[in-house]
Amino acid sequence: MPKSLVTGIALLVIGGLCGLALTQTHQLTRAPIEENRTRQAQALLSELLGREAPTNLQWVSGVANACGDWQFVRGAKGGYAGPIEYIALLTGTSTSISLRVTRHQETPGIADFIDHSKEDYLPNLDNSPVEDWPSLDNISGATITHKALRAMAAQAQTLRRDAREQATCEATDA
Amino acid sequence: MPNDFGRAVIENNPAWAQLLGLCPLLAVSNTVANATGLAIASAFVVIGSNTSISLLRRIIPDIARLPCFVLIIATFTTLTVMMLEAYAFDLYSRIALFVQIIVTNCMILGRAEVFASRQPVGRALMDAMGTALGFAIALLTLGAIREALGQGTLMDDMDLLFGPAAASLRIDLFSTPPLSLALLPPGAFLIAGLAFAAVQGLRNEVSTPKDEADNTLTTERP
Repeated sequence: MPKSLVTGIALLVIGGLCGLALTQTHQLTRAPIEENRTRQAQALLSELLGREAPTNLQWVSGVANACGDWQFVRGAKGGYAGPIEYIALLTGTSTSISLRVTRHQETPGIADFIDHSKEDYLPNLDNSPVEDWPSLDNISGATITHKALRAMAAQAQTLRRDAREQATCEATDA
Repeated sequence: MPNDFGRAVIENNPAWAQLLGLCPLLAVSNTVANATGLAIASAFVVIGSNTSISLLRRIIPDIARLPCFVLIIATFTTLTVMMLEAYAFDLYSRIALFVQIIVTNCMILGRAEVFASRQPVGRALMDAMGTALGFAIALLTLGAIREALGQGTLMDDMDLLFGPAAASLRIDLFSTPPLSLALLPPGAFLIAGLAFAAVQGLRNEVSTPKDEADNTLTTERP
């Protein structure tokens, strides 16, 4: 049998074994992982809203409760080390926003300010317009991450406006 | 076979003797709980991958051995990430990034290339257990010193790892932390540097004249 064929078969066997182990573990852990993520997301939504968030939210194009008094928006923007995912709360038609980062790969230590479980930077900005956010100079060494935060806020406003237009809500944004 | 274990723990300790795996060692050793989490995760990966590589050593093609090793190590790392996210979610949220980069830990790839791929399963397993224990000792030592100095406690947040009952393991040492810097990255470098120096000092104390002669020869080599 040619050596290259033997090598190919060996690689297939090794790859197959690895794939099998991953598939089986995924089957085993899928339910608890999904439960953990849902619980974490629900806790985050309730924290943003200041009361128990509804559990049956319908998300359309990244926006929940598009025609209500408040909207949750979820999305992602590129940071220094990949996409930064977020959830934002926008109230009424104002430009005030509360924002939390739900997943990121930014440099630990330098970008800890976007992690609400480590620092109060984002909670301290709750319900304030983006224009009032502190200037870039306050976040030394995390320029790209900080720019991504502002981009997230802008994206959340756009997504909310588009969702309200799409849902033909009675009151439109100012 | 027990020699493989002992050598891997002390003589070839991956962190103190070979200075391998320093990125996660410095980053995650800020508390004993985090250090324990990473030590368990690393142990699972090194033991699983060493054993698998030793079992598969006769069918792993020599020309593609490194990609195969990385594939096997990545598989065990991914399994660890999934298990942590499923069953220790709070701890996962804190150390996830550093668990994921176990796949690039040269300590694990090094043992696979140098030992597991050339030895029978029993010896590879003992070597992996010794390497895991050696790395765990380094992590926990650094974690204990940094948490004690930087936070004034020992074994805080162990409930994240072992359930609510483990919360009682917390020991309060100081009401005011004596050196908050210890929790920060510069503190990690300073304390790890002092620990390396202490270990080297001890190794020099116990080394025989023959070892010293060998060291001299080694350092004099052009």
